[in-house]
Amino acid sequence: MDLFLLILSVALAATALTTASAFKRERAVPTTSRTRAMGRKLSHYEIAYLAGGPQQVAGTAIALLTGSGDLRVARGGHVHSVHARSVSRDPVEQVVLATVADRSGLTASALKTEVRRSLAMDELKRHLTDDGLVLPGDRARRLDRLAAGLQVVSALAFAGVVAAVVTVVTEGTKPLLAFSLIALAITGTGAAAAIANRRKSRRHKLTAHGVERLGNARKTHPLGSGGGRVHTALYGPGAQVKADLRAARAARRPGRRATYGGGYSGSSGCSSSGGSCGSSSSCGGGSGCGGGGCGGGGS
Amino acid sequence: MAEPGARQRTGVELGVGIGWRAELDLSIERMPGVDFLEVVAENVRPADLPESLRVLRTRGLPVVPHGVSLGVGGAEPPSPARLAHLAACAEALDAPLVSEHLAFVRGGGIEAGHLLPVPRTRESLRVITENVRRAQDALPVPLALENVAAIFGWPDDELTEAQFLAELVERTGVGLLIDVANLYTNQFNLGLSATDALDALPLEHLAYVHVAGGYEHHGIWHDTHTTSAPEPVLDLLTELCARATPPGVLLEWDDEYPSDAALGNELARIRAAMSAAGEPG
Amino acid sequence: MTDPHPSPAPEAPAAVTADVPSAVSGAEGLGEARRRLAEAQGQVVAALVAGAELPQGFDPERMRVQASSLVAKRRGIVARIRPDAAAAAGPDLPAEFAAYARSRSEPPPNYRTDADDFAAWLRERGRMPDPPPKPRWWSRFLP
Repeated sequence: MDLFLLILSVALAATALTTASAFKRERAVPTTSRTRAMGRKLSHYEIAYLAGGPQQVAGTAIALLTGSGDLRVARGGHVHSVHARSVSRDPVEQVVLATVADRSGLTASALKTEVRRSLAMDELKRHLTDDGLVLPGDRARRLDRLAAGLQVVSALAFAGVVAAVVTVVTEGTKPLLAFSLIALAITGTGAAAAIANRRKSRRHKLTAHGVERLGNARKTHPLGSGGGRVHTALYGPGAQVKADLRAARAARRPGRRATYGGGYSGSSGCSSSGGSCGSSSSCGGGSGCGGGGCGGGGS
Repeated sequence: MAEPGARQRTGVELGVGIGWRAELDLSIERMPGVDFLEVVAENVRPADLPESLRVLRTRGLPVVPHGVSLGVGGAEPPSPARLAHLAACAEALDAPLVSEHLAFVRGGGIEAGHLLPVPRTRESLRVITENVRRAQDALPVPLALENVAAIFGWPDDELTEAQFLAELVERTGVGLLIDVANLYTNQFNLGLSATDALDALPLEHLAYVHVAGGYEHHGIWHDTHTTSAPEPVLDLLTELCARATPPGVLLEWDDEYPSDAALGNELARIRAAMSAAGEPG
Repeated sequence: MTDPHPSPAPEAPAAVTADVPSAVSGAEGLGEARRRLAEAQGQVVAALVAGAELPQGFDPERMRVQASSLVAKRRGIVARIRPDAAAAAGPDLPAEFAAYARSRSEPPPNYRTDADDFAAWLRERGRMPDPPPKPRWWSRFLP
């Protein structure tokens, strides 16, 4: 057992080191046009993409269009056109409005699926990739594979640690065994640390520069700083309302002053957007019996 | 404002309201100035009301079931099944009344899919009176009948629509749902004066009023319920309010819904037209 | 056509009182009235919906407008039930639907059938693509 664990610890450590260095090399590849991209201001939809990918872009578009009265959301998350509204110039918004016009009453999730697959979304991703903010697909996949490898190494190393501990308990400590245990523990934690928070920090999709731009956006528009477009893009619809409510509760607690700076500022007004529509009951009406019924058909 | 004498009322002041539609459910729940609702009875399952209606009911809003397929103006007595459904809707919604139309919707076994004007003869009056009585017997709450928008008239019409309705009211005590947009349509398309109709109708039996928009095409007015009510229709509402105080006035909008703000604006225009009746000159 | 300036109610001919009809003739009279009304309304509906001949005395132009208004209403409902068919017909939807409605030998029993028949009619004319094959549950495991 001791020999097996020794071999395992060495093998895993070696694998971890090579994988981690390949990972770091891949991450460090300089992306093009860094200087060009540095000066360019990002649109709120591009920021949404950095913060949460196509799903976040779609959700932001629906939330903003609902807030501006260009879309209407009914219970169950059904999205409907609003008649005679002005046309949008933003390509993602155009897709949203056109899809709803074609399939009025579709659910917000179905709408998001359509928007995610749209040409406008591909274009948006392409711009961000060309500007070196988003990892190109092949690089992202390579990094994902390397990260998966490190995950496996880490898991095996921790399994090895458990086996080593059991061996120590049953057979007593020995120098080589102790060495294996320590090596496995270091390998396990090291590998885990290398890939920690990849998803949360968006490092699995963004370049280092993209992560930096996202961080800047979050610093400029911190959570609870007002329900504008960029705030919605970063934190989703309803985040401002939640922040306001938290602040209001904090302000009401006796003996504590809210550091937020002024208490409840009221609802941002777009709280019932596609994402947060909770009701799952199917809405009556509309299916089959042709709606109102009394009106004439015109010509 | 002229206040008529003893009126057979449903006993419920309804206020200003809007037709509930599933697409508008959240919009209506959020909309200020909505006092009551009407819902198409055929779209409601009494045992399984839409959540939105349940929410609005807990706020105390009256909801009136409005049927579109009974066809009391038809040759056959009204179907017991359809009447039972209307009754069930009234009970499920605790409605103060139900409404339907003076129209026929089927003939010769074929569904017309639309509310068609009845022949306004003394003979058809006998049939329709009996139909209305049977409907009233089957319903747990008062019934109100709506005048319809007509594109054509019958060759042997003897009475105006208002006269016909007045006779019907006298025989059965049925309530009236006066649709001023439909009065306007019939004035436009058939030359039936809307103000004469307002004079001839027994307004003391007025249950509530409908307001809706439409459009003109090649000299014919189409009552579509998909657009803002034109000024002449709101003027008719003012004319009506000068003669009697309606217990309720309802905005009908069936499709191509505008923004929440636009709908709210329509309710404001209705209120303004109602107030205009009290002004001198 | 109806007199647009009817005489006020008190001067109208005495209303037919159904209050105390003679038991037999009243009921018979009512039954007869129902039959005549049924026939008249049946003819009108047939003319409007099933392309039957227009009964005497009706304004042909008005009836034509009413008929096309009914078709337009059906079209709106069909578009809601089968948005794919409506999208396939595109801007030609009014013309296509009117042509389909004319081609029907029988009025549709309900809106769902109407919508499906319209979609089939479009497909027959190559205006509608066949529905994409439904993805099988195991297809995600294929490369």
